[in-house]
Amino acid sequence: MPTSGRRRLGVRISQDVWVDEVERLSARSRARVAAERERPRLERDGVELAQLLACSDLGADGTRLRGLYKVYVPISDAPPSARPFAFVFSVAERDGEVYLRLVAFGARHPPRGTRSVYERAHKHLHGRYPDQYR
Amino acid sequence: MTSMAVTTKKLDVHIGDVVEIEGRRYDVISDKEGGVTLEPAITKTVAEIHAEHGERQLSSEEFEELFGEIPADGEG
Repeated sequence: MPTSGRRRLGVRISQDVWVDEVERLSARSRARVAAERERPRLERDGVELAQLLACSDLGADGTRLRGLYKVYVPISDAPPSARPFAFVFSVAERDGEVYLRLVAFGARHPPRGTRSVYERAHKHLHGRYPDQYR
Repeated sequence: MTSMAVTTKKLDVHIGDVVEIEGRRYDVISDKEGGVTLEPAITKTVAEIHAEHGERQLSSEEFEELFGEIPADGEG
């Protein structure tokens, strides 16, 4: 990971998670194209800490994502409204090294009937979707 | 009106199963009306993902102790 004036954190991506989260999407969908464009840079350079946001302990949609972090996609300095997708990460430590592990990707505000990236992250974290507790 | 010549494929699947259709995996979940429906699969929990790689999941307290407070926007 290159050193720069801006603090960065490494990112690791499991191929099976990539398949579940990104390759589930149509090959030419905007979301998948955006994710695939970011992957090489993410794995090479990691994420700038300034781009990282903490997920909500309790979201308006019932998601509980304490301990997870997100970055909006495309990763840039554009306002969030221009970045419709998100990667959600869990923080991992191994042999003293701390890095981000990808757990979910998707649309932040998808059309009705489609799970948001936050709902997907919730299921990865808790084993079921927020609306499956009844 | 022309009839639809559709052959029904009977599947022996249950809620919680994962099925693959044309290379894509789906979770079989309840439709809350006594039937089932399919959603793009999520096959591993965060804990399982970390365990597979022999790594430990850091809590937000541990992470922010190392890297400082990370802002939230309250969206999700």
